[in-house]
Amino acid sequence: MSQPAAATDRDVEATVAAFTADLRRVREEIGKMIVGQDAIIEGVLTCLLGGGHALLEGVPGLGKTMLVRTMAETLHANFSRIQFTPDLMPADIVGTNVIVEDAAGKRFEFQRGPIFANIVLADEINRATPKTQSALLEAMSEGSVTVAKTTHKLEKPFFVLATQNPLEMEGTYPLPEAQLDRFFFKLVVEFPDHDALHTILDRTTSDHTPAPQAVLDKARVVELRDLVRRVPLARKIQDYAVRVLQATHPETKEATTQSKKYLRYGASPRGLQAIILAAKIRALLEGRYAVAIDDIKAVAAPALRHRLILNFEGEAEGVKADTIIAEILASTRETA
Amino acid sequence: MDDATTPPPIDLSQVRTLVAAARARLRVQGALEGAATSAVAASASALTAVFLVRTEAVSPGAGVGLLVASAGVIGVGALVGALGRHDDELVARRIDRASGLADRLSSAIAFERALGTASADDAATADLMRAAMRDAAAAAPRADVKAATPLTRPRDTTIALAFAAVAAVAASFGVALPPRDPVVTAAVPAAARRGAEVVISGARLCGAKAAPTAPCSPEAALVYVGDDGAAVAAPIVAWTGGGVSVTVPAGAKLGATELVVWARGKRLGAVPFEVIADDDPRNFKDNTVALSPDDQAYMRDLVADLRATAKHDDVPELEEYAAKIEKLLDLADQGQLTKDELLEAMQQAQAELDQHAEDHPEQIDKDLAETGTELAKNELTKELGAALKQGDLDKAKQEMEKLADKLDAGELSQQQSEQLAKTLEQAAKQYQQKQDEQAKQQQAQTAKAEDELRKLEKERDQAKTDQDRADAERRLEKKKDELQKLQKDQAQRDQSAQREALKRLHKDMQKAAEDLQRKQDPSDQKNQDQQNQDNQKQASRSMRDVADETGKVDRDQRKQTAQKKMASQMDDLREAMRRAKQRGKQGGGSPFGKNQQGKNQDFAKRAAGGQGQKGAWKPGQGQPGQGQGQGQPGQGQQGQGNGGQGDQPDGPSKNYGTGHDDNLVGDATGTTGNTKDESVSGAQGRKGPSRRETILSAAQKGYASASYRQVYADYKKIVEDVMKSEKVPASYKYYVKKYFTKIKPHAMD
Repeated sequence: MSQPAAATDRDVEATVAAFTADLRRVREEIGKMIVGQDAIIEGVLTCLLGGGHALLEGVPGLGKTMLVRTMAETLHANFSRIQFTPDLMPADIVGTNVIVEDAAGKRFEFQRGPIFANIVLADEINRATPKTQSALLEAMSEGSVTVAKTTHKLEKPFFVLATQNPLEMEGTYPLPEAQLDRFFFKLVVEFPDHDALHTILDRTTSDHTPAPQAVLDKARVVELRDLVRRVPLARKIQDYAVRVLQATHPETKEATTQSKKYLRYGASPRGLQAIILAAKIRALLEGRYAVAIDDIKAVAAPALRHRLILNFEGEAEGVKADTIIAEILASTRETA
Repeated sequence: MDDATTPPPIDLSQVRTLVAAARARLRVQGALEGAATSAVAASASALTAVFLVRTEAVSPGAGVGLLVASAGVIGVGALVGALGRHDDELVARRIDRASGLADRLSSAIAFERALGTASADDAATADLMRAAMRDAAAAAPRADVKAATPLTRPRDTTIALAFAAVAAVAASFGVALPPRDPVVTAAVPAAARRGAEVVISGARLCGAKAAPTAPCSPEAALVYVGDDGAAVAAPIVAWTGGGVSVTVPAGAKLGATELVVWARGKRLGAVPFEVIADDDPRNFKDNTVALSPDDQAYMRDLVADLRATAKHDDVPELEEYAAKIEKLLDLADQGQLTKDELLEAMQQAQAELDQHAEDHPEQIDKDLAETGTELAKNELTKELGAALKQGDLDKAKQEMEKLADKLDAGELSQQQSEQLAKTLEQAAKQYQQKQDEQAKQQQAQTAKAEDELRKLEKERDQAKTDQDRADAERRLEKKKDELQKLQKDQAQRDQSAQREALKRLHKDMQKAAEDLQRKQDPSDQKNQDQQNQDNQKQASRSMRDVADETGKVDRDQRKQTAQKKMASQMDDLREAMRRAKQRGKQGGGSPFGKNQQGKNQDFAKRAAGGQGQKGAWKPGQGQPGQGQGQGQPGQGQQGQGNGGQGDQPDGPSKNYGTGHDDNLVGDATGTTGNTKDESVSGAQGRKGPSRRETILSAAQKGYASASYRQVYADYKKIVEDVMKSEKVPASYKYYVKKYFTKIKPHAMD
């Protein structure tokens, strides 16, 4: 989306107000179906608007599939769900060429796999083999799939929501660090609190079944993505984000005590990109025109937690990445 | 963007006002912080200033200046704190943080700066920046500057207050100023005779800051002996910060008094002091050597003999030796030398005199005579050779100089030159040959002795019985002694000044011969005469060197001759010094009784030609053999033991004692010899007084008459002959010689 040359200041403010309003409506619609997971909803929307993909980690039954489905409905977008199992093959995801016989005779025709959707739920992604995982991850990275030397573009917006169960680790294939790095956010789905459980029961055990409405179309999502990238941020705030990222690297002077003690490698520049984009989205969601340091702090944990590689000591002591990130945010100076 | 679409400027004045206000508050806070921090230094500085003033290290004016400067330090600290740099964006962020403005103000300031450099491609973002700036301007009224920049108590306030309190308390303490006035504390020694040097110890005599050892010359510096109208000024020898050295003036009255010190017209103080008589025992330390006047006179007489001989024989070394001994006697007289020091100094003076002495002067004479024989063969050096043969080195030297003069004048013909060269060369060669032979002989002797030594060592090692081993060991030790003696003799010969001079003499002679024989160019007939003269001039210089070396040998020989001649006097000196007592140990001093001093004085008068004091020699005045001979201090030890006891306390003993003076060396005189008393009547002479009359007259009237001198000379010669020919114990010789020294008429000096 390009900015009209004659855009007035009022237009800009209206655009941002529209962004905020659209996103509020989306949240409201999703909120009809998903209860007590506001942070997860916001995180998923952030990934969607940031052009990235989300990795959700949580025990079964917390509404992950419902969240994705509802989001697809509110965005009026195509949705597909892939249940990852150890026998799942790449072709089962991306599709394959099959022989088709019609009036013209027999011919090969590409049969699209479930990846060809705007929103894809990769359920329990760590249960598939690495080969299959990598087929999905290529699509996530490139936005296209190649079958029999033919590249097939995926329709925008293309958004993958992968889930993994942290409990049942038997017979799973944990995602390698390089593949984890391709996820914009890693969101940890917490168990709903007391009030939320009541609300869930009220909504799901009565005869009234809420139905979400489509409030945005795919084109609007793409517009919103463009707007996000135009949000400015001051150099000093960007510098703060850079120092936060550097602090995750134990060999740098910005590294904190815990970074030095428990981390083997810090986050990649992709992590920094995720932080900045997410911070911009947060600023817009709050109706602001520029990024604040608090935005950086708010998005640092989901953007970095899956990008930090613990060393042996960290693994042995069961140190959480979120703990290290919290220490980094607490000790990194806001001004250089 | 073109001009048509240029957005209107955004008014951020409200934001700027907020930032300015916040910055002002930050400066105030900075000033407070700086003032508090610098107050620590200022407190210390002020305290230092107070102490500097109190210790008078600086003047009060300067102290006030320092206090003002200390206060200034606080001002400077506040100024530095206030002038700290505060970036607008950072100040705005403080406001954002405190006001919950989500970095709106700081971002607006950042975007305002960024917009100035934004390109067309950034237009979309620029729109959002402007929107953010408008948002910031709109949010400005919500800003809380006071919350963002609270004026708090400076961090260092507690420390500064603590320092100030400590400084104030410390400043209230009094400072004990070091004493500044000059003081005198004591006279060292507290009692001294006239002419002695006394140190008045004290402090700050050259000013409060001067070092105790630093000398100075204060104005109107005076030291008086006494503090009344009869006070006598004492000459100041030295004045330092720690003391004043003065000489007790000759006019000072004996007895207790004070030494009063004045400087710059101010009386610095007085110390107790006592002027004591010359003979007061306090003049001397207990362990210093005590030479009785008798001994002093005796030894000084010997030294005078040495001096006279040294002068007569022109031996400066001996004169120097005499001067050293004289100085030692002076020091001993002043009580500044212990007996050990006296003997050691005496030994050292003797060693210096003996240094490089020739043990075999006859060998030197022989070498010179042989050289003389060679030289006598030539007509030109005939006289020189004769003088050398006769050992007349003075004449030999003169002859050499004459020859040098002739050579210098070029008076010798070519033929004479050649002959002279041959003679000199022959003499030098002959001497050198002899030296080489002697050296070879010595080496052979040494080698033989060493060889025998090795054989004896082998013999000892292989001895079969203890007896053989002991025998071999004895012979080995004997041989070692022989070898050592040989080596010692050789070393002495090598160090002999005469031999060294003799070597140089012959070397110069050889050189003179070479100078005369220097080849001339036969083709240059014209210049041959000139060349001959040049050669002679060269030889003349060498010949003068020969003369100088001859002079040196002559001087050294004269020195040794004089030493030999005065050996007896030098022995006597050593003996006298060996007998010297230490102060405080007066026992055994005089065999002549307690009244010796009076007698000595009387004796000295008469020896000088004066009339003796009547009764000075009255029998019974002295106390030889006094008391029970228990060796009471001061009573002498004569007559100690069973004999020598005075029958009458004030009369002479009728019996001789069986004891002896502890100082005497040798056996006691036998008392069982056959003696026969004879009465000899003196023959009355016809011309002049008889010897008896002369001696009697001298005893009563003095020893200065011409006839007495004759008598003395005769008797002394006899005594000296007897001393040499008879076996007289050294201790007795001492008394005899001392006696003759005492009765020596002054005209004999």
